[in-house]
Amino acid sequence: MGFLGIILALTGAALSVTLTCIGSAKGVGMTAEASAPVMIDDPSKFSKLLILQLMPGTQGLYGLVVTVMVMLNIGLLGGSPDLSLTEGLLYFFACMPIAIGGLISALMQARVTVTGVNIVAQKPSESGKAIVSATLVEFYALLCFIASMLMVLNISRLGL
Amino acid sequence: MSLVPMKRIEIIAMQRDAKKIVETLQRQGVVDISDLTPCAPDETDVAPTSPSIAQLDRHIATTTVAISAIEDRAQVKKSLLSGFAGRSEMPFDVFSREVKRADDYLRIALSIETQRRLIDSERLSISHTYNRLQQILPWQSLDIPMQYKGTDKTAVFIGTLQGLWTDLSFDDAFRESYSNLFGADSSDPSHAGDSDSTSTKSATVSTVLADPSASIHFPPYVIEWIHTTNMISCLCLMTHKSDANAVEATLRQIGFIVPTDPTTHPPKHRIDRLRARIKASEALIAEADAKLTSYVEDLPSLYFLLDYLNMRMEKYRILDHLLFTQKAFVLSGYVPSHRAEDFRAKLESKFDIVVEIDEPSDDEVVPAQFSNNILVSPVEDIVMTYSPPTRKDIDPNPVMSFFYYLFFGVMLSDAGYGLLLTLGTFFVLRVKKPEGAKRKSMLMFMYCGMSSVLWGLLFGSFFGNAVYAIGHNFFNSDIALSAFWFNPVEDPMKLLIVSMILGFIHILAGLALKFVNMFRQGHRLGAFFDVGLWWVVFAGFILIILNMVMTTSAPLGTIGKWLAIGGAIGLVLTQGRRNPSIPGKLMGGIASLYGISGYFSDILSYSRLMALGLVTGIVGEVFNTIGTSLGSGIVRVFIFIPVFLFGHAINLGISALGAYVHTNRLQYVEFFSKFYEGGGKAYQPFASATKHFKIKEEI
Repeated sequence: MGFLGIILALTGAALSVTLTCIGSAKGVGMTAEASAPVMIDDPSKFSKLLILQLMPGTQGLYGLVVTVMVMLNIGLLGGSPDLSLTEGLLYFFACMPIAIGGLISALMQARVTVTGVNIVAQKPSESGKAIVSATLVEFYALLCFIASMLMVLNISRLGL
Repeated sequence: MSLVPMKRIEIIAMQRDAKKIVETLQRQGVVDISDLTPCAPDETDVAPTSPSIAQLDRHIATTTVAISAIEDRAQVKKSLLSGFAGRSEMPFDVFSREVKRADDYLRIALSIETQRRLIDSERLSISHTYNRLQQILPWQSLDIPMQYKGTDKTAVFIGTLQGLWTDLSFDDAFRESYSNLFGADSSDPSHAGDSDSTSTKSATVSTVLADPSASIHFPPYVIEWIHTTNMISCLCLMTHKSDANAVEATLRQIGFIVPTDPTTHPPKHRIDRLRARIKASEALIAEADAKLTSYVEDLPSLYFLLDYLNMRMEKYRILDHLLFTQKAFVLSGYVPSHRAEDFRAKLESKFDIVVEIDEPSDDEVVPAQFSNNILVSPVEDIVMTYSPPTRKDIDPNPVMSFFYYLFFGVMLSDAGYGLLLTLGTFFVLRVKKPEGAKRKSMLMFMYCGMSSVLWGLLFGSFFGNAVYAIGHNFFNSDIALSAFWFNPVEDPMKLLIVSMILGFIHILAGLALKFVNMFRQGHRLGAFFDVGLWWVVFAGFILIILNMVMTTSAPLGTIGKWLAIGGAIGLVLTQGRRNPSIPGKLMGGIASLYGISGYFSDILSYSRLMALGLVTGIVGEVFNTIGTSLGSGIVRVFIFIPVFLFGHAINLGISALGAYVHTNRLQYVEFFSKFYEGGGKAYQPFASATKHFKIKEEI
């Protein structure tokens, strides 16, 4: 039965990094595509555009961190993994906030950064506002991350 | 440490001095000139500067293009850091000397422009000539003019057919078309017998006689293939004059095309001519190119010219905004108070001038400038990006800068990254000597880096857990950088609580600034109602929380409860005070309690401090783990080094970016919303906005 627990926990961990990375890849890609024509016009806007491009990329990072924390906690990285079915299921669910929230927030944030590219194109002096708008969306990815993180870290304390 | 007080300045002077006065203003660089709205169009006239502006615009464009052309040739390398470089200094006497030579420099720029145009047009003509050459090249071996129509007895057709042709395939096609066209009536005269090869041009000449067995008499012809490829076949066909019309019709049927631009001489002649023309163009280009290269040493002069033209452009823009009467002109703007008197004295000593200095009236939007010490001033641009302050705002920079560096440090939270950031920015500051906004942002990141070093040490993070990873895996030692405070990876809850406490302090500081500002403006009671009562509520909540976490005999919980309730009642009673009716006042007061949820979500928002701090630490550890887990012995070292460098470079980049954006957001959304309104405009003194040289004024 020990296997089933690990399978579930790893499924959750894998989904956490995969879904968030899909979201981030799509988001960064959308923004980078939108920036290309602006850079043709004025290559000096590269640094401002780069910030916008990278912003939907952080969700993938949050996903990875949760994945690593799961692996550390179930003893997959050095240690002997021994997990009950219940624990495995708990790890699986603990990964869901960042997996789903990260995926969707990256896509939503990308829509903001794409419009932000317009701001940089037309009024570079206002680019700070475009960036702050994008952090408004990012915050919800952060909340999901914190939720997943705290859950993952505390499951082992339950002693199931 | 505050907003610089501004005075309104009005200058009335003689028209003949206008240019000189404007130049003086430009060199002093202290007056923010506001746009004048003409008071009465019949009294004043706008100076006719537009033609000069148009001309300057043209010259600036020419010079800009000339500079980029010469920079290409000089192979001026623009490094990533070159954007940070400051301007080089130019003493005023050098400047005045250079100004006298500006016309020469302009001539250089114009000559560069001419050479560049010449190169462009010659390149175009080469490509045009080349195309014509490509068209005529297949005809190279034809030794008669392409326009040649034949002799008295013969007709010659020169032209092309699509695709690859041979004697046989042509003969088949010719016969088939001929029979289709003329098969019905064989009335056409047959000259089958007397086709004699008058031309014996080459060995490839093939004589195909009409098939005597057929009922139709095909006209005899001689064909020579000048050039054949899969795409096109060039041919020269000769036939008897009397057959000319029939043969032509047949040829057209097959798809014969007469060249659009046939030569009057043998094609070789034209080929030689075109080749000579290309050579001539190439020589011209080389000559112009050499001339351009010889201008490389004039590059600094061109930089000077561009700066000088831009300065004049600025000057004319201002002159354009002046109000002129027959003899005098008026100019108004804003000057920082501490420079106003000095400035007036300087102007009055030089010109016949009336300078009036006033306090600006309350409804004016006065340009704003911050004046802070070197620790605080780097964040000024962060505030300006949000919105420049009006005179009603308090300068948020001193308080904000402290929290800015603090939060950035918590989020980056790695001593190694902090060290890199500090050293990197320090290097740019020392070597490139950036000016203005670039210098400020470099300074800001330097302080942020220092703060990251501090927090990295508190959290025991140096390139993640690099000290432990390297020591453990390569030196068999259990050395590790222990945290001076606590390791957030092991105890994230603690960091979460620390983050929220820091956030709470940040919000309290924002409210304190609001209190100070309201007090300063004379709303003393308002300050107490709007800020003080919230503090009472907060104090109550803090006591309640303390009561929960501490075991103490003091009735903290009860005191806290009553404090919170008392504060809340106070808020209900006072927050609706601007509403006219009693029920309105009460409703406004009750609605204000909803603000509690606002403060609650504000404080939660600081959980990002913890999240970003953790991400930096854990991703750093992940790269260290990957780097140390592959290979063994010396191989492992060679795998570790690139993984370490690459991994940490990425992590530093993304984490620093995250720390920067989220610090900004915490200031803009959570902090500024408490007290800062903005909506002013930034102080932009009329000065020499040069790009390459900083002209040092003699004082």
